[in-house]
Amino acid sequence: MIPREPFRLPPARARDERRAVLLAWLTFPAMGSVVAVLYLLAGASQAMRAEVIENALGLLPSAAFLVALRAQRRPPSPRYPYGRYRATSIAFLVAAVAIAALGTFVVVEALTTLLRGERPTIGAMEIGGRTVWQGWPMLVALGYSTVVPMALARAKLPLARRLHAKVLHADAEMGKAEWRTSGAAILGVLGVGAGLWWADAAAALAIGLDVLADGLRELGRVVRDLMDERPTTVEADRPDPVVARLRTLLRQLPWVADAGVRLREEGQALTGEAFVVPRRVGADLLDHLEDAAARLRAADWRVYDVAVVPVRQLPPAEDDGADASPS
Amino acid sequence: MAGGGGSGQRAAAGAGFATRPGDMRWVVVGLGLGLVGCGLPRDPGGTSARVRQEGLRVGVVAGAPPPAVAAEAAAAERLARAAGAPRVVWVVAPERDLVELLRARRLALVIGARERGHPLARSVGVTRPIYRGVVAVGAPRGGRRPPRGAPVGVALGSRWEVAVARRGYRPRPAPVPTPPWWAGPGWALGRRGWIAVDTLGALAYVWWTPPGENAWLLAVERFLTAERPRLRAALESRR
Repeated sequence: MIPREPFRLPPARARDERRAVLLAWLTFPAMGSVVAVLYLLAGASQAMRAEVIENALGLLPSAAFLVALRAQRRPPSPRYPYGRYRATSIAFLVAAVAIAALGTFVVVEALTTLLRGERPTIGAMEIGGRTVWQGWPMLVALGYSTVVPMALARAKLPLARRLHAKVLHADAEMGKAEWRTSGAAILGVLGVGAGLWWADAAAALAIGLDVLADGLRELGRVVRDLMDERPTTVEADRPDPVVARLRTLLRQLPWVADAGVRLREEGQALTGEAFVVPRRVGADLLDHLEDAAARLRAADWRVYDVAVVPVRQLPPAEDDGADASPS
Repeated sequence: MAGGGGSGQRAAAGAGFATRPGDMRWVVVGLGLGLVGCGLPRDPGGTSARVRQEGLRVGVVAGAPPPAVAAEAAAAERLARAAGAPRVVWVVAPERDLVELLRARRLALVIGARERGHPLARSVGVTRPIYRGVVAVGAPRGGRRPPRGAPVGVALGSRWEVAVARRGYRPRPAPVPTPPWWAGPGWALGRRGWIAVDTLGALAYVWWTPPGENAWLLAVERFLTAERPRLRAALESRR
């Protein structure tokens, strides 16, 4: 077996990765405090309990990221000749399944409560010698549970873009949308205060649906990744323009008559085959091929272990829109 | 809702600073809080109003220890006065029936040595503890901790019999403290002038209220803040 060379990040990206790791670690105490505060105040409010679950789930992507990174960093070996660059996707698959499952649980629980017409009782608390309705501290806690994940998301998002790290991006996206679930819980608690008994369970239902949608969306995304979908952008899950760029680069080489690529993603890395039809087969072909491989690597830091294959004619291509050359 | 207009104006003034669309979210949330904030919480089932108009209907758990019932009933009468109830109606029944009546808001309160964490209480409102104490093996003043295997009196049918047996004592049926040792609530020991020689666990009594009647529950809680020392004194006082 001939193991691959290990994938190396350029220095600037390696710095980003170190920062992302730091943020992932920071997520644990930060979100831990959010979960603890919500849990202590949750009482009988279902919306609050749904928020506890939702925020606790917010730890999963960070955990997946850290665990996967550890596996990924081990270099390719005779046993794992292709390396372990899919570790991120596998870890995130587990996280997405957990998120979807707990989302389902919250939805079912909220629906049961609504159907049974169970009324949430929110009692009193002693704060500074005064007896206050527990709904008020709940609202403060919910405010806290909005601010913390959104601040983390704000810090993670640019790193995720630069690193082309989809897991980190999904994590940040979920954090950014935190105001939706916290807002639902706030409306739920206020609704209960206003005497609308169903508001609490309705808010829990909204939170559960949001979690479930997150879980299913990420599950779909990671499954497509594991199925070797064509490279996609981090942001919008659209065909990555890098594919067309690499093909154009090859076509513009003077010794190349025609070229095409077949690429997939392994974590951040872009890998696969580049097919080139040489104008003539001379003694310098091997030099040309090596030069082409080096040019591909130089074109984008994500290009990793793309085999440049000389062919008589290109394998039949199907134009999927993404492949269209911009030139 | 008298304050609604004021807070609305304040929030509207804040909107002048909202330059980014993201800020609008907080303005909306603030406005909502301000508008809804006054007079929360409310009762979905109108228990507070019913207490004021028709009187306080109190459920008393049948079979509860009489000293606890006496102390709590006196407190409930004071609650009725504080809440402006024209009269108090007592309903003595098994706890299951009382829970059903509470859920239908046919009662406003259930009393009678209700221990916190009762499985039936999950579907009703529960106050914070009205009384905190211990359950202990007690002995007359000057007594000592019983040796393993010693007979310790415990009321027949009391779940504390389990704890007594687990400590290695021999449970012996005794409805009231009888020498040399007896296990039960600390207040029952105190009423006899006994002392606790081996604590078996914590004891917390609560009151039950109708589920979701949050304004009423808050009113009861506010009443209890001043009431707790009186309740404790009434319960622990020596006869």
